[in-house]
Amino acid sequence: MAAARADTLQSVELADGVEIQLRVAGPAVRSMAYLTDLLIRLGIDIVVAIIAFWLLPDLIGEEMTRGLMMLFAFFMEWFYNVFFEAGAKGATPGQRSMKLRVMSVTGGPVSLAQAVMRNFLRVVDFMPGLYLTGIVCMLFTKRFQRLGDLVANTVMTYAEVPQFIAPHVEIRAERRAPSQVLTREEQAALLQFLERAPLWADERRIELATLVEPLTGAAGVEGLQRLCGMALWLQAPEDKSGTPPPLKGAAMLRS
Amino acid sequence: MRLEDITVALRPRQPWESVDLGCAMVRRDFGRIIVLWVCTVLPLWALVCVLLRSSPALIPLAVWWLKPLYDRVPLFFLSRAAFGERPTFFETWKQWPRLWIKNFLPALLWRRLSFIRSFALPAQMLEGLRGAGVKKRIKTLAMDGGSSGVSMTLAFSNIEVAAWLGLMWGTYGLLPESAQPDWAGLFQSFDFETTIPNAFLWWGAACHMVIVTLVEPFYVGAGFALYLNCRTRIEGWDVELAFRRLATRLTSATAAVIIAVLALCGGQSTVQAAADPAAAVREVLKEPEFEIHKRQSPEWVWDDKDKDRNIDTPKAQGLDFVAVLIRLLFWALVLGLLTWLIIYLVKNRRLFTSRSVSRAPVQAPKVLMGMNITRESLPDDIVAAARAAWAAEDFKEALSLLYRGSLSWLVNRRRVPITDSDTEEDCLVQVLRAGEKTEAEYFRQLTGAWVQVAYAVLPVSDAEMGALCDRWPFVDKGGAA
Repeated sequence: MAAARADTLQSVELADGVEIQLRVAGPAVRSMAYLTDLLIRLGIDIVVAIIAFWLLPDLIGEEMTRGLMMLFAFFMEWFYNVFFEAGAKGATPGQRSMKLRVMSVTGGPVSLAQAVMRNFLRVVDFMPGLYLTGIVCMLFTKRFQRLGDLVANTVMTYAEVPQFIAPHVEIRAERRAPSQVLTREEQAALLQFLERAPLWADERRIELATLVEPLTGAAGVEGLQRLCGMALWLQAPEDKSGTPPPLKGAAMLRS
Repeated sequence: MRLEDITVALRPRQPWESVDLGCAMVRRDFGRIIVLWVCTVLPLWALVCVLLRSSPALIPLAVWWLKPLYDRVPLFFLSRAAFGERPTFFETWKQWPRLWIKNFLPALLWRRLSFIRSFALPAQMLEGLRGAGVKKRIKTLAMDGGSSGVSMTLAFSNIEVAAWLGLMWGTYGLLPESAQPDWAGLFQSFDFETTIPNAFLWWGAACHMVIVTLVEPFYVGAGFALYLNCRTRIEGWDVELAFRRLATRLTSATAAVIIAVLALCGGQSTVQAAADPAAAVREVLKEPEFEIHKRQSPEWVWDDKDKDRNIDTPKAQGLDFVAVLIRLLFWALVLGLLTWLIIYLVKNRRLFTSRSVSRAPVQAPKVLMGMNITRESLPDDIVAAARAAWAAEDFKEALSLLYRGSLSWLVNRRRVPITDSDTEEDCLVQVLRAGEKTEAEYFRQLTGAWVQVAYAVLPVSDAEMGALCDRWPFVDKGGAA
């Protein structure tokens, strides 16, 4: 049943049997990134054109300037994305503003060839007008890929793991080992509870703690105390410093 | 609603990621959603079309305005499907009137322009609150996810507009000419009535409906997923789910232990310890899964050993002579090839120098445009001969003498790269490019006059002819040449 769940993480099995999960990004956020890039590109084109037509015609003539500007516009149109996506950040300024980056399906950075291929195929995705093909293709493929992505074997992914900032609270609970052996998912859930409990109302915390009565052996506030103690123990089995360990659980989110 | 039956992976996500989750949910059931859409929305659209048949320009506006109604059936389906009870077509169909009637006035009037329409819709439709309660609830939710709801609405309207215009753009060429608007007239007079045919408006409305059908379900799904994400974060649904599973596992494990204990007490041990562990291991290793497969494949390696051995054998000695011969032949071939290459390059070195030089003909042409231009064919004093011909009113002969004389001079003395296939125009271009300034200027005038007389048969004035004769530049200055 777990396999049938709709999810945004897409598993990819690599050649050496390792399974990685890609946090693929969908058409909505990508359209915003594209719009940002479009505006940036237009802005650069206009500024360069103004400067060029201000300075150059006296030096090289009107026609030459116009030709050079057309060349410049051509390179901006075809190589702006290639240049940035094949670069170190793997993302154009617009994509970076939405915290996205382009990746190979294998999770690595895109090669120059892949960047060229996925961007030159924009012409196909653009057909019959204004990226209709690309939009439809993105909506209906599992990894939100447009045709260029499918051909070049690339995906657009979120570049950052989400950080949840919970208020730092001191938890007064006695550190204790869980009474049963817990699986990894269950340990992660306990840690999540400890990290996010400050965001919830008291009743909700107690309600959740009461759910795991078989583990804690107590209901209500006592159960909550014991649950917090077990979660603290999972964070660090022994109290070394005397102060509560920092609540950094972001890595556990991906469990 | 049982959280255990949920069919989406819950996890606190970034807002955009939850929008993507919504897209994935809709994609999973797009077929069913689109069938429901066709059965519920198309009748309404048919009604709209009939009512607005006299002004089709308003149809897209009406279709857009009624969007909150369309959202409800897909949302009902998605919310049930998310919790594992995917409703059948008839179950949803029965709900249809109830879904559309509930709160439809506020949705179509003062809430229509809300930027968090699809994000707020689940709170209005699914939570069973009324009046002020709904408003308060939406406000609470919007504190956490409102801004992402707004940007999501923006993103989807961008997508919708782009796809709509794209579809119109792409299919525009298929329209008959009578259905295409008169763009020039439109921009001159801004008279929309006469320049845009009704067929164009109908077609635009149809394209709009297709695109709304395609995009709107995803927008609804995205809003629903955003709402789910919001509640997951503020209520810890993912933690609740994990805790429920943990509790279930532990209770069933405890029950299993109790059963085992009871069974042991009854003396009915069902656990059979293996008598000899080593034998058991051997038994297991005999299974086909543990068979070790081997495959042999030949591989090319350098035959170093054999070469050493062959030197010792007497058989090879007689072949030394052949080996030397072949080696000599080989080096001779290499040397020959190198020599040939060098000679070839030297012979064709003009290929590597610049083009203007390569264009220079090896031999100056003798005949140009059917005219003989060798020095011998011309009189000694060309100008005098020309004046004489002019006095005898043979204007063409006079100018032809000057023209041939100048070409002869330019080709033979100045070495202007003119070939025998060039026309008057080509000659002029070459002279302008390669000749001296005064000569080139004179030649331009002369060519003009010559073309005028020879081809257009227009008279040239005496003054012009006089000037051409007086300024004749093609003479040896100071007898130098």
